[in-house]
Amino acid sequence: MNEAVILEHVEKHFKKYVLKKNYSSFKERLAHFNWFEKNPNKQHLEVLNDINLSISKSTVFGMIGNNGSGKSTLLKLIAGIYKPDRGRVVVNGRVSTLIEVGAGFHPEFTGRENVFINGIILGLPKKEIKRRFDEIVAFADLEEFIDAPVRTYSTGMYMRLGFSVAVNVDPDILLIDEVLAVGDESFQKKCVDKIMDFKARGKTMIIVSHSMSMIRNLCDDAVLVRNGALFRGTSIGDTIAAYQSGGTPLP
Amino acid sequence: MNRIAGHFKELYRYRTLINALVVRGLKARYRGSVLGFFWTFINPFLLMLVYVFVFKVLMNNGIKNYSVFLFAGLLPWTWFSTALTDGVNSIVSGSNLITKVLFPPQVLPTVSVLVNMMNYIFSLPLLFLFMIILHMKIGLPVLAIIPVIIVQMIMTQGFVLIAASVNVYFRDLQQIVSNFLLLGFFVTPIIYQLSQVPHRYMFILYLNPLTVLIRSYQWIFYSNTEPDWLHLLVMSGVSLGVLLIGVYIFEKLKEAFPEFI
Repeated sequence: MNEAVILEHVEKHFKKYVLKKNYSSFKERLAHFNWFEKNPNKQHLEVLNDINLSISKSTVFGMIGNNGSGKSTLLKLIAGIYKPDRGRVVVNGRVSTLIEVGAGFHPEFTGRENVFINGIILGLPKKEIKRRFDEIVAFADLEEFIDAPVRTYSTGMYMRLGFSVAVNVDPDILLIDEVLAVGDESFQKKCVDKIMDFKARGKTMIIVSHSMSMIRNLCDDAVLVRNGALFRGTSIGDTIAAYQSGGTPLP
Repeated sequence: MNRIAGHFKELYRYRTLINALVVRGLKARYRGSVLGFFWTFINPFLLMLVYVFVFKVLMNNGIKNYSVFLFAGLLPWTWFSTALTDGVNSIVSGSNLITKVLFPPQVLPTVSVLVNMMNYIFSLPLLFLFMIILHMKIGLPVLAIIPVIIVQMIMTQGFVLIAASVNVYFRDLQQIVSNFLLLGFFVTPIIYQLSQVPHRYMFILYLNPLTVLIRSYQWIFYSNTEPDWLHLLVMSGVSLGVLLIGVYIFEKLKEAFPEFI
């Protein structure tokens, strides 16, 4: 199969009160209870509506759009973290997520310990982590600090280590959500090289970013998420222009 | 049925992760403290001193070798109650993992149970030390703790799965659990002997699923006899039932976890 990811008629909505806050207390419920309407809080907020998208293998695919437009939800659907309310998500290959760098890092533990745990969380066998350990540390450029607790790391160091583990998991499909912006210039360059290397090896990457220059330079194709629907221009430039113009090129 | 089998298959598939998280959980507890791992012994020891002082010194309850009697029941109770307090929160506090990475959420409550089980096992040498100091017999019945531990693990896992998944939607549960555990502690024969309970109220203790387990530990360590196997067999049935209900509820609720936490 030539497609890495296929979405067919995918729909996702959240209950509105879920978005408003995580839970409601009894007192709150009593205060806001509407005796005449049934479940006044249960309004559905459609985040994604009838999404059709196919992403071919060995491409770098960009996703752009305003905050809250549904990019991350889309990413989580592809990752399998969310289940679609309607439609189908087909993913061919092993997915690794970089939705938040160092998800699962424990601040009290050393970089070394966290690399192992994070690698295992992302699905890498322990033996593989051992084998790639030096490479992971070298990529993150953290040889000196690898035995210090990660709570002493700067945001950039933290991010570098997280990214380094995720790319070394060697997935078929890597999902990246706005995390590349934190590293310094030399690290960003390394990331770009890694992404190119990924692509050359037939892997697929899906990147969510607000940096248009990054999308323009890295991606083969991109899509704009707006109002729960997708817009895919004839070229990346076209899609970016649609985003920047802010207008609604959608039906 | 398929879902229930899948639940266990996923746990097995993610055993390396469970193992790593259990080791981390054990280390994390005392990370950074000067005495470190020794707290595994110091904590129950201090707790025991408090109870011995109150129930033996201040109000002499007439139980011989009270420290061993108390330890025999207190240590497994600590395992159960800490697993439940950790476990009820495990999904909610693991939100940074559950919403960001795809992995079976049942790993987290399982880790709560296993970390506390390991803590229990690590605290056993302290119990043996007291048995030796008090010249108590340590014989073959000690081997019977293996099935008792297994039954307790199954039961605890069941309760923790229910608590962890329901707590995602009903956060009051963690408060309810901690209060319930306090009640549970006093209606389990840990600080007193079952024989001291008036007959009229005995049924309360037998409604408590932990009574048989705690009693088994006391038979083994305090009385150097085998536990009541028939009671234990019944309890293992109950435990399996609790576990299946737990898995069922967890599997029903888990799909919407990432959206609710």
